[in-house]
Amino acid sequence: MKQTWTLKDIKGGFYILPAMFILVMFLVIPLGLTIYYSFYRLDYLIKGNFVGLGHYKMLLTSPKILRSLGATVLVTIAATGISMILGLVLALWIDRKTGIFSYLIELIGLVPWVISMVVAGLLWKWLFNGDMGLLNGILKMLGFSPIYVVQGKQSAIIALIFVMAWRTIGYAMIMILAGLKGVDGGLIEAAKIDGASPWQSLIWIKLPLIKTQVLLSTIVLTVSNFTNNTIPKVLTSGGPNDATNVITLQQYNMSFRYYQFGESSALSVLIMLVTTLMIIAYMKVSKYKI
Amino acid sequence: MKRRTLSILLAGALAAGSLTGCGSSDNADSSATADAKTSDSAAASQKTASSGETTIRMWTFLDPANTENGRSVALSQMMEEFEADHPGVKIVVEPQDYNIMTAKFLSATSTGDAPDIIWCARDELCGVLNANALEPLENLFLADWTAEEIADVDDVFFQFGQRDGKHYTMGLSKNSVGLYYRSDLLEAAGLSVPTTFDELLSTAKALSGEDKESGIQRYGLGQAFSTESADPQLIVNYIYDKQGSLFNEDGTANWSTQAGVEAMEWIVKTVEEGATPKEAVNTANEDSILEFEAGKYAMLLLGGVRMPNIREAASFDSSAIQFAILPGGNNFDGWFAGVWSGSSNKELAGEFLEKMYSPEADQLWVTLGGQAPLRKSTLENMADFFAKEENQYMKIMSDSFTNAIPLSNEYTVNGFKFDMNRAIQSVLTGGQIESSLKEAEAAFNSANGR
Repeated sequence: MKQTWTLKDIKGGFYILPAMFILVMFLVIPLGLTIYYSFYRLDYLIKGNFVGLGHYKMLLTSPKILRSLGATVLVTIAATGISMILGLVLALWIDRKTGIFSYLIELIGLVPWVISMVVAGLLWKWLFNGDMGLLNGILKMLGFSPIYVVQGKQSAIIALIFVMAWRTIGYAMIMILAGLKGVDGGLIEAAKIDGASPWQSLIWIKLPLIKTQVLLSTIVLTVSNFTNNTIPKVLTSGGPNDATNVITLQQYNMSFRYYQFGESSALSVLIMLVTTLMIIAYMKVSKYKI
Repeated sequence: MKRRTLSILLAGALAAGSLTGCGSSDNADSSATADAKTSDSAAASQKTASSGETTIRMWTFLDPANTENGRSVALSQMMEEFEADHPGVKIVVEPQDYNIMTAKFLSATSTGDAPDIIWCARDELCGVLNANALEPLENLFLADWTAEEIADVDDVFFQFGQRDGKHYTMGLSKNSVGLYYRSDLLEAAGLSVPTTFDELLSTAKALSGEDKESGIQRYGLGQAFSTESADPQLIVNYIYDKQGSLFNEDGTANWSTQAGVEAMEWIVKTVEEGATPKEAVNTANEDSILEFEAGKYAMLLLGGVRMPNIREAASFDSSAIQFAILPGGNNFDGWFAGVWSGSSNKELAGEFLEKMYSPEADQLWVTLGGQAPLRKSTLENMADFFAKEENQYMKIMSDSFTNAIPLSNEYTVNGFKFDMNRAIQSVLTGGQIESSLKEAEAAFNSANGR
């Protein structure tokens, strides 16, 4: 059946024009150009030869890129996992509290999420400083040997995971808490009457009911941590010896340090594909329908 | 099926959006400022255009509105003088984040929206010249200069801005990576300023230990091996000192050599023998500056251009901070200003560029900005000024320009400092010296298309 356009349809189309214009100008065209340039040499933004899938092949076979991707996945999974577990624990604890105390904890928990990532990165960098940092100051006071946190490969990764988790625990807590507040108290009461322990209530009633919030938070934080280059850049600068060189840092360096815009465009497309998969999962979980 | 396709497309758009948002927000503040300034200047451009004025746009990391930075104040004064001498002309500075300024400039040249004047970092100049983005200065003002005037500015910076017999830029904000030292500590230990690598190591070791006044652990030599460190480390000086060049004639890296191995062994020794802290492996220049100001180091490897700020922030008697040339010679570094070859106001832009190099401007750069003079005549004319203890570092920097570690602008050297630092990081975290140097060479050659 042929669709006919009504005045209402035309008016509707007119209303979304500004938004569509912005989307096209700042998203669709740059995205198209990024994909286009990923097939060319573009050193110093000087368009060179067509290389086809050459950049993609190089990226997918480069040990450095694969190591970087591995570090990114490790940091993302670990930081997100820690955030979600601790966020859940905190949310369950606060859910039992009321009044100003609960309100204060929620506020404090959200501070790391809302403050600038540069500030957070610098704050932890100086707290971790070997000779002048607060952490070692306390350790020395207690008679322990100092720890040089961002000096070793493994300790630098642990420090990065710690700071990224610290930043997102509050977000996870608030999202899960919102879910818990929506759980019908009658269900918990009924379970209690039926002899369910608090642990059983949690496992069989609360968690299934807040599944959506937990999954949504997990996906949001996974994407956020996966694409975060600020904290790694400020805290460890990708070092030592590329131990914390996450993929977006690699992408940044390719573009603005080595001026290999063709290669970095290809890497951007690959990162976009990974995040696209994450967002598809997000939409599936949220049952988003078009 | 249609719904699923649409879902995937929408997810892709969201992913692209998330990528846009994952840019370098570490520079968010400066970028935001720059954007704000750009908007202001764009508005200013329109305004001036409608009122018949000519606008000369310039991109630099300096913000003339910043009254606390001496170089910004000097620039602001030059702009005022130029505008007073050229009624109907307005200089609009659009301050930029220096990390991405060159990339942004190259992008703007392709869209025809580049500024009339650009400041470019040393390591990026070759790429800018390859893009034919700068107008030869001979076409603007240099052809009118006498041989005496040219000799006045002829140094390693002037030569670096030359290609195929033409000069495209000259050094502004000339920098020299040398040795900061605390004369009070050297005097107390009865030591003199080191001039060889052996002396540097032994002096650094002698100056290491717990500071009796502050109680903090002091190290003799502050080095910064993070891949975020903008200033080249001593491996550069060592290799240059022993083999005369860092690169082969075709521009490939030449580091996994006997000189490279010795350089690395020397660096490892500074760390293992306690002259440099172990955490230098991941320390950046900016961190080491703060640590030096706090008294953690007796000597520090750093660009001389930072001296005024470091003296101002030092937690100890700042008059004790002095500057010296490193063993192997100083690395010259800094910014090169030129006129965009596509500018519609080349002549006026050239005039302002010439103004920034003038003897009068040079005095402002020196007295207000505390930077090394652009001209040799400034050194002579202001001999009394440079003789003062607090100003000697500028003369030392200037002297180092005649004998600085040379670099070619015929091939790109992007990231060479960072690749060398990565090799040091590899060795300090357990890697083999030769393989680490070979890996660094391969990374450099690959990144620079060789």
